[in-house]
Amino acid sequence: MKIKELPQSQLKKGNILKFDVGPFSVSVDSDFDVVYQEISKIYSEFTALPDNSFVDFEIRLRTSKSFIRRFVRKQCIFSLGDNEPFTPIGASQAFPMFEWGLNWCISSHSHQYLIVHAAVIEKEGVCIVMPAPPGSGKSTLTALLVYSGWRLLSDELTLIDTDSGLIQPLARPINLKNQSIDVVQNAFPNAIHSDIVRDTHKGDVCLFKAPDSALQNINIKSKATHVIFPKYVVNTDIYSEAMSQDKVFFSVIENSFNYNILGLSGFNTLTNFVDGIQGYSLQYSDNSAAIDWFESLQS
Amino acid sequence: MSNLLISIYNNPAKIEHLTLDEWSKVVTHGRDQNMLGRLWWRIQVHHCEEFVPNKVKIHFANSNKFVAQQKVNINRELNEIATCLSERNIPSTVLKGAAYIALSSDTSNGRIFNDIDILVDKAQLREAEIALMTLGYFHNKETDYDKRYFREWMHEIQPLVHNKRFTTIDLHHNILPLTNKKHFNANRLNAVLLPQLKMQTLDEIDRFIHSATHLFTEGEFPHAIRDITDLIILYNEISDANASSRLLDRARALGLETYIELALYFVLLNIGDKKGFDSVEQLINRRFITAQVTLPSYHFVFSADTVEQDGIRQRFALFWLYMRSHLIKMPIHILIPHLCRKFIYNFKERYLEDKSKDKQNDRLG
Repeated sequence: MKIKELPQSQLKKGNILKFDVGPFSVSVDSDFDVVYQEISKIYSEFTALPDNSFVDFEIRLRTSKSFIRRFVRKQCIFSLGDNEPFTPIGASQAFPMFEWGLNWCISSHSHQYLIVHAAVIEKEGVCIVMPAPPGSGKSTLTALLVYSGWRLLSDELTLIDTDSGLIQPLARPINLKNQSIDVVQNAFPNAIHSDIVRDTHKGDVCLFKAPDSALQNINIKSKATHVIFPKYVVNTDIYSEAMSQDKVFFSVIENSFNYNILGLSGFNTLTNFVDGIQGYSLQYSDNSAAIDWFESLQS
Repeated sequence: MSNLLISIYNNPAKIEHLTLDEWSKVVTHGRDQNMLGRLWWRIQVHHCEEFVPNKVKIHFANSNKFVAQQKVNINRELNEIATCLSERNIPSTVLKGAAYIALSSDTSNGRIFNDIDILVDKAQLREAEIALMTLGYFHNKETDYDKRYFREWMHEIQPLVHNKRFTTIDLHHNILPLTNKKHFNANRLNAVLLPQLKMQTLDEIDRFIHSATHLFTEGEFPHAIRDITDLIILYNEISDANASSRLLDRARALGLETYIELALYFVLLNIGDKKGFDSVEQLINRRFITAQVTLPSYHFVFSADTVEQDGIRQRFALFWLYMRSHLIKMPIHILIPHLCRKFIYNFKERYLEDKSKDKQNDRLG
């Protein structure tokens, strides 16, 4: 059963919602109705699981234990079991906190994959991995490309299967911040997104739903053909430079969460991954020029 | 005992009847308690792998990847530490997690831990500290109060953290705080040489004594279940039918019998040694507070499925053990000013800690 088919009575605080997210399954137990509402909107096409199924991550989003905090400046606490990896934040940020928290769960516990902080998109055999530090415009480009026909595999976490070397899709929502929200909204006014949450420690954030096509193909793994390091620089012409294999190799390590834990299998996965790949650094200020540049890539 | 992890540890065949929902609990609590690797080891020893669903196997395997890499790292670090200290004629003893790895003992199977514990003679403490600094180990933050607190009263100094690899060393000069009235010169512990390192570790009896003393003087129990299984394995490794009475004799000689009796109580209860258990229970019953308050409190700790406790009795149990640990640690005239100071400074500390958590938070999304 899809999440959108669940009765409203199951989508409110006090209920434990179990569902699939790509190769993982999670359960959410939240004190905040907004979390259920946003999940039912943004994850509407994902499969809801029965109560007795196994989940990889038992996630809770709780209000503060302190009595006063329940009334004054209400807080949200994220936990995986007994582990509370983050500082509590304002209750209005509960849904973004779920997204950040789920990223943390996957990146710290799923060593069946080499996990890279990067977006992945694919079109006609061209499969691009885009690692980049926050602020590089990675998510904006990803959103613009997937809403114009590219397949979204992942916006935040690239999962490289250590057995096959192929990339496992995740199709989670695209996480946009500040001005990027307007850029994507203006270009694609019909795109479904969460409410904009203002003034988080990352600024204004908004989560955009992955296109349905991304979900229909969530079991199709891909072999990466390109690694692109985009960088948004104000008032520059578009400029790209090929990167050597060793540079790609070490840059991917730098953006990896668990290379240090995987040992030899991490090294083998990564050497396999860079073998035959085309690497570029890309500097741009105009989104449409950047998109044309992506469209011109050949596998 | 009702704890799911311990009951699987004691009887791995039980997993045949777990529901998928219970498996989710095993993965969640096993992860919290650093028990996933250890359970997988027990399941393999008992040939019950076929009853583990594939989705759960992935979590066991992932935990083992972490353990395997930890083993490589710890062996390399220990080698470097042992060489550096022995070159300066500072005899050293490695304790707990890192020692279990150095010994390749059963206790190292699937065990995840955070720090390397090293014991040196108090007279050579400063020398050892400087030696480790030459390897890149430094104190992260150390106020004058911390310095005094740790060096005059405690059994270890502030953690030393490697400036590149972030490995943490807890440098000990004793196994009990100097303010604990039962503390004794750590020279009285029996050490054995490690064949591959210029370093010692405790012999099998004192290894149990140390681990038990640690757990049963503690006030907080983030990995209670992992720690009690440590003791079960350490006990089983004493290849001697009289392990229990040897441990009690040794504990009396060192003046640690209150802690060791409690430890033996739970070990013998878990391994089902009825006779040994009854005689230890008798020993415990001689002391009123221990028998009526402390023992039931520990029962809560080792039978709970989560650290967080809801019931009034459970909360009281945890509060009692917390207070008890402080009363054991320090005489009241040192304890009260220390707690007052801690209370005031906790706000500041919490703020600093939050900042470092946020950094982790920032990398994603």
